Amino acid sequence: MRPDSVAWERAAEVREAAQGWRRVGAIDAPTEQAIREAYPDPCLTPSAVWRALTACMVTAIMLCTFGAFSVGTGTNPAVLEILCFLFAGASLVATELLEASPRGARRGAAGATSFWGILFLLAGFSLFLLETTRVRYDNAADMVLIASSLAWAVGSWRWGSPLFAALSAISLFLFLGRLPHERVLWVLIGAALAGLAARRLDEVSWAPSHRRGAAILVVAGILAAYAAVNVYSFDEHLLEDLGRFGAARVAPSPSLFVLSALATAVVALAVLIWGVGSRRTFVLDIGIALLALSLVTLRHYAHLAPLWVVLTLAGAGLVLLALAVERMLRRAAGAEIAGFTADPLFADERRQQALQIVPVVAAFTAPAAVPEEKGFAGRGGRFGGGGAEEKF
Amino acid sequence: MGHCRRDRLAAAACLVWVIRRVAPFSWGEARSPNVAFDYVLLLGLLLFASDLAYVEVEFTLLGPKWPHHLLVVGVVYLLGAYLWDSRTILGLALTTLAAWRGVSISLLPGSLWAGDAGNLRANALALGALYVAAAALSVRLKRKAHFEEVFANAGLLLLLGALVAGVVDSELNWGVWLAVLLVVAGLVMWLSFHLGRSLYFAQGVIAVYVGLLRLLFEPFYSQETGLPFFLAALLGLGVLALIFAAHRRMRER
Repeated sequence: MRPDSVAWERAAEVREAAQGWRRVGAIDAPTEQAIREAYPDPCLTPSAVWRALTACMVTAIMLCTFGAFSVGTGTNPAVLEILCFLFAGASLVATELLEASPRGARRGAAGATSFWGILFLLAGFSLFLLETTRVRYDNAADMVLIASSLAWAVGSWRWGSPLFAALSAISLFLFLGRLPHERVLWVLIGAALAGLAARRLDEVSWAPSHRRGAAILVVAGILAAYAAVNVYSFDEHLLEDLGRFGAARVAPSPSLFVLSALATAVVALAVLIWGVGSRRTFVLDIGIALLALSLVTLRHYAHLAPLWVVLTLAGAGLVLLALAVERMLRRAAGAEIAGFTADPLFADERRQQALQIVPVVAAFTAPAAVPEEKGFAGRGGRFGGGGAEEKF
Repeated sequence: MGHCRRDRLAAAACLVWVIRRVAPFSWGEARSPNVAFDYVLLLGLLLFASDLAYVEVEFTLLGPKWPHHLLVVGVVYLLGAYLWDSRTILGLALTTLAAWRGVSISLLPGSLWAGDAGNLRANALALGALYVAAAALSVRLKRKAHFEEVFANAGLLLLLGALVAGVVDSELNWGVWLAVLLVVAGLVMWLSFHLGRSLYFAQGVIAVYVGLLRLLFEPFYSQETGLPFFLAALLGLGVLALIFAAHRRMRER
């Protein structure tokens, strides 16, 4: 990242933190004002809605311009390849210009141009491999995945985008999935990535967005390692399916199967313990999610109860645990036990509550009722009152 | 029947717990008494809804009018949202009521394009207008004014979504749909600009842009030319300038 961009980002982080402290009453208005004056931020930072709207429109402009040129010049792959590289170059130059300007750096436009710039670059590279050099599809896929991992990683480092870090990690693991011993590689590289990135989570010399990128890599590493050891993925050859066309499938031995079943439980618990020990909420969240996945996996192989019962009991158990922990923390001296507190962590809870509505509505809303037809014969139907989708 | 009884017991247990914990009713915003409150409330109401669906299937009380059970569920959610001050449950109520009218509020394509599209669009328009009116009344009458965003966003999604679907999908009278869309979206943008509501403004901008794309592409329907794409890019530039100007003016005020 440019030194100016890092400085602006640090100032913005401090000002946002001060806003949070003010919101929960930890500091008063003059103190917040003093902090704002001590950390001036020359950047114009619109809200998330404005940034998303700007990014959408920049995307529309770029794709329509690309469409105009590609349709205008015919559908010749060689021309399309050159066009992709030209658009990639133009987009990346535009990103650099926008990032250098305090008025343009955080409006959403730079994010869109950098994203599409890298995608155009990868599209051009794919066309070059497949059309110009006539590389075999499997080899081209490998090379594009390596290029993708590198390009997103460089983009993430240069422009501080955690999304690009995630895309880089996904490309890397997709590439590893195509190599022999893909499962071992996922476990080893996943664990190494999580371990190395975890050491940089509080690295003072790194820009805040780079530290967020490190958090994303921790998550990616954990998920990759878990996916590799999960007994369902092992049983269903989910990773092996990523491999090259015609690669031999070896049936897993019973001892490996048992080992994988044990690892499915152990990895989830280990992540949970790591989350508790490190006091990092995102690791705790991942641990809880993995534990739920392990329960669903267990239910898949051992029919202890219907899936809805397992999930309801697990959810109810979590709610009871949360209630018990909250009560314990509230009653403790200073409302704190071993660094844990039930007090708000200066986060904007109103925004979090607003964000909760979307997944709940998306997950639990009933499917739309089919318009009534004349002569309806009462053929049962598919009911889903408030998400209770079931076929009776 | 066994699991139905268990559902009913679990729903009752959740709702009894909620009733015992909830703060006294007020038309203002109430803080959740603890971290689990919203989730237990959600679970109780979802279990109630699944129980109702089961009863309807087993005893076919509503017969061919079975979708009306969604109306009952939606109304119960709505009452629950007001009684226990939950925006999440309100969101669920509004989408369930939309589902009762055959409209699925989702980002997936097809909901306003499938089946009897005209009927669905009419339902979406009516519900959208109703929700937007409810948002305005919530604020004006100071009755759960904090529900405004949920009502208005769901309403605008339905209203503008139906109009955009009309423009994109209609064969003959798409021009009429476009004219109505431009008027309604313009009004939404003007009002949201003055009220300082950026999300409503964004919905209006996107609806206008998508609607105008039909106008740009229609004359070149059977020709292979890059001109409409070029015009769409120019239109995008114009919209971007409008976004920057609107944001600057909103910030200044």
